[in-house]
Amino acid sequence: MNLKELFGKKGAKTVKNGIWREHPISSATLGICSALAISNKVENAIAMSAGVIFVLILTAIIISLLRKIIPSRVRIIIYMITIAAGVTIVDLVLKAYFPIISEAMGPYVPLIITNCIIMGRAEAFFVQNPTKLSLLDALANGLAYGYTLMAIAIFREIFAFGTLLGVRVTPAGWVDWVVLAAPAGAFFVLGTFLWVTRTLAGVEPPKKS
Amino acid sequence: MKWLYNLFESSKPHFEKRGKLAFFKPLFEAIEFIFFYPPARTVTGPHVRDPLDIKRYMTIVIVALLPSICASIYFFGPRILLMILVSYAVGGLVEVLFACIRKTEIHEGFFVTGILFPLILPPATPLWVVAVGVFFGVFFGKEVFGGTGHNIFNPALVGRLFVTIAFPTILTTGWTAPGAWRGAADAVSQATPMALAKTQAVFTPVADLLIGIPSGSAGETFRLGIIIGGIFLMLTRVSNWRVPISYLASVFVMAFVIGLFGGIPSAGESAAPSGFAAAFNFGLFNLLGGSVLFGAMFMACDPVTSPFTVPGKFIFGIGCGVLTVLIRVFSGYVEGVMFSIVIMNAFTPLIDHIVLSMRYRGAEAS
Amino acid sequence: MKFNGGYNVMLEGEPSTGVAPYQKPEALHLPLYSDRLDFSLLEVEDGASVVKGQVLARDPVNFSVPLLAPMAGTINLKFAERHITIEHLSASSDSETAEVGDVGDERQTLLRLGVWSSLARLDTNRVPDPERTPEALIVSVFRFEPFLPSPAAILKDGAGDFVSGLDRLHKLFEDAAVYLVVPESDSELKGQLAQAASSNSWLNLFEVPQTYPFDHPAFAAQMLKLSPKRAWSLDVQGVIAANQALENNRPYTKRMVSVGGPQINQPCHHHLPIGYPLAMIIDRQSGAECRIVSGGVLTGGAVAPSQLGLDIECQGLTVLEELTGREILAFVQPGFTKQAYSKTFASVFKPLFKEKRTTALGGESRPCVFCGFCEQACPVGIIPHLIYRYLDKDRPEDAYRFKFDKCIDCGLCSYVCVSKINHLKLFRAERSRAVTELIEG
Repeated sequence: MNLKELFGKKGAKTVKNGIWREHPISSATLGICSALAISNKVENAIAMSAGVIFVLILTAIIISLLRKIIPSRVRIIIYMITIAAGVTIVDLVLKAYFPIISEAMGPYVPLIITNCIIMGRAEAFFVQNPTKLSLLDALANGLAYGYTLMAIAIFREIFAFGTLLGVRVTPAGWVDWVVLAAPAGAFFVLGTFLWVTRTLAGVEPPKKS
Repeated sequence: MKWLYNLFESSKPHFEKRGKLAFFKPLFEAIEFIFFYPPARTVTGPHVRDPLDIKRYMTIVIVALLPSICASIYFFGPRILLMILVSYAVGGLVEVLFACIRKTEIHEGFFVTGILFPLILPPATPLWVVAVGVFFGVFFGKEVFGGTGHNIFNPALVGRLFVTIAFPTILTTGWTAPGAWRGAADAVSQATPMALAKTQAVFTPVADLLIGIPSGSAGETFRLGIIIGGIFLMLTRVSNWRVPISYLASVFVMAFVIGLFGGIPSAGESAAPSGFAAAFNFGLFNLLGGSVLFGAMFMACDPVTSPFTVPGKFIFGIGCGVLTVLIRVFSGYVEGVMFSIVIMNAFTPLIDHIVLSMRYRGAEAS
Repeated sequence: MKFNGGYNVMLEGEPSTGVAPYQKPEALHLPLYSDRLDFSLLEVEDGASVVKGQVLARDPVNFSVPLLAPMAGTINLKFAERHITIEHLSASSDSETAEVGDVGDERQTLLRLGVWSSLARLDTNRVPDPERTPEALIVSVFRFEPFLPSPAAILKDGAGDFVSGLDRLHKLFEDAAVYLVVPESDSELKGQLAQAASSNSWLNLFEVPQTYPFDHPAFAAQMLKLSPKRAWSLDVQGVIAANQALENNRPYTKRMVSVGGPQINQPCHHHLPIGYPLAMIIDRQSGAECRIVSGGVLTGGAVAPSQLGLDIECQGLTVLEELTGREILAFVQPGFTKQAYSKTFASVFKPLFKEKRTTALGGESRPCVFCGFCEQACPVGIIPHLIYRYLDKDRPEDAYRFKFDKCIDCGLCSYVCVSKINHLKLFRAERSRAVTELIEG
């Protein structure tokens, strides 16, 4: 399947950038707060990424549709309202249908509102581009966020709890790596992840002038 | 040895730029230079150089550690040798891999890290924990910062810290009694002197501490050997005397002061012992008990991670000593050497900066 | 020889104070360059015959200091590149000398007779402007760097010539103070100098420990709080040459050179004209690959194989064997024959012994591990590894903030460095960059 045939030239570029080249976490270091906090278990990571993708798509649609009538002076407030509305929906849905996950994630669901990826994409992309492209961008960035979270969560859950999605996968006599369950351990995993992906994607660290 | 030399010479082309094994050039070079003196010459002045190189500099540390290594094998059995082997193998692998990818030479600092790490572990530590710890220490403690000379924290301590936090149960129960491996029973666990003092107010006699009767980390029990090794290091100027001496002195003084003000732990309901003699004994016990000696002689004085300015070295040593005693007396941990050195490692650049800016105050550029 | 930082090393091949008998050369090969000078302006033609003291070439950058013919003979410019060769040297060279032009003032005399180029400004190490006058003149009498000429050989005939030369220079430079750098320990020569100093108020002795690099004039200037811009230095031979130039109108074309090093058969001093063939001085023990170092072994420069004769600034020659052998397991051997700054070799247990050094780097280049040896060895109390780091990162302003300007280029930091970092090279590069900037800006 060719990306270009699927989304057109511009769309393909948007998707590629979002998923790999301008990866929101590894290249822009956005949204690492939730990536560190929520990546201890895979189920939490799935819920979190789903929530973020949903809010991203909602924001992309609304902001890109309204991009011509949003006054530039109050645009941040408009983003906030849109994002907050999306987050509230996610929070209520989780509370209603997945109360256990909702409890595990604690304040991090409402805190999606401060996730820099959403705000950043809204300011950098949605407000300047048509709906179709914005939608693609939202999907791509959401996916990038999602797979990063999943990768970290899989590693952390296996090592810190010996399980994967709650199912024991480690042999008997396995000793849990307690440090990886704590956010401090996530730093090492995320740091290594950033290092590897940045090297592979050829992202140069910003140079001091 | 002519045949060995010829072997190196004949296999050299494979590791050159377009050779099949060019990726492993650092490894080949490292092995060659271990056996044969590097052929490098001076190019510009000074045309003659001091014969001391970094290899010998690092080897001297291992020589100074020999009493501790031998004692640990005597006390805890040949598994210590296995631990050292695992530590060298895994840590060496990380080091070689990084050197090959970065296309730099393999740095000798690892020789020291690789042997220090198993010596600061409980003697019954499983080998896979040794592997994980040394991997983590070399990887996150040194290589991510850019290798030897660029690291902020002592790599061996970073590894120790990681395994302590990651596997708390293993690392707090592995205290085998010295000499127990020769007995019929399986490894007999024995509380360390620091734990005994903190929880039951039992103070191990000084003579026992010196010759290594009580339990402790693999390399820290035979304290006489540590003192001999440490003095040897200071005499050869490989370690700077300022850090260990100020560290040890401040531990003693700090414990003495705390002892004077009734901070000595006491058993049950009885009142805390006080008075000059008790305080002196408490100071001496803190100086010799636990891993203060080993930490001061071999870990804190690591030149890369301690300040390079002279007043900074004293500040660093005193900071380590004060923190060690504070953690021992007032925190939930029984031992504070590792934490205090790592904490002070983090302050090293700041200490240097402050000392330098005071020394060159008038010359501060606008 | 003691080095700063409590280090005592005895290198094999120290020149004795004796002066080797003079052997007449076939021809003289005068290099058109030396450490600080570049004689790019030729004043003679190929095949011309010259008399003693005739100007052969001038350095247009450094106030036209001349290169003088040490002997009479015929010029050959084609013999070697960047050399003036004087062939068919006449035997009665001492009787006839070049005609004296208009006799200018004394400074012009020094300039004309080739003495001026032995003066150096302390801040830039360049030849000073003849129009200017220094506040102080520093003469380092005893040199501690291996192997520079010994004053005992130069001043064999007594210190009289030397003191009267100092007197003339003192008067010439409008009553500039003259400082003689001498060791603390007593010797006959020092006694003579002390006597001269007690009878002349302008002559001062500055006593330093008998340790390299405390003999360095720049170190004395720092201790005496003299402005390096207004202090000039001069070597002992320069003072004697100045005296003879001003008194007898004699050109400065012959100098005392020490020849030493582990490869030399009979290390001693030689009194030779400039351009004397190097091949005739260097009497080597074996055919091993060698390096000839001009000046001290720490700060001197290697003599290029293309250089045939003694250059005008050469003080001493040291012949070192190039490293060729590969010692097996060198870093674990006790090393009874090696003395190290850090006492890590078994040689600490031996009494002081003479050591044979080659051009071995002594190990592999590594990143700095902050061992602090360079700081302990530094005579002026700066932190070489810190300054090196700043200069390496191209931040000279920070290097100067940490008193890089105090550095006297002694090279001890590079000598003791465990990681084999060459601080001296970078420091010199930065200094010459700064000097160029100063001149152009």
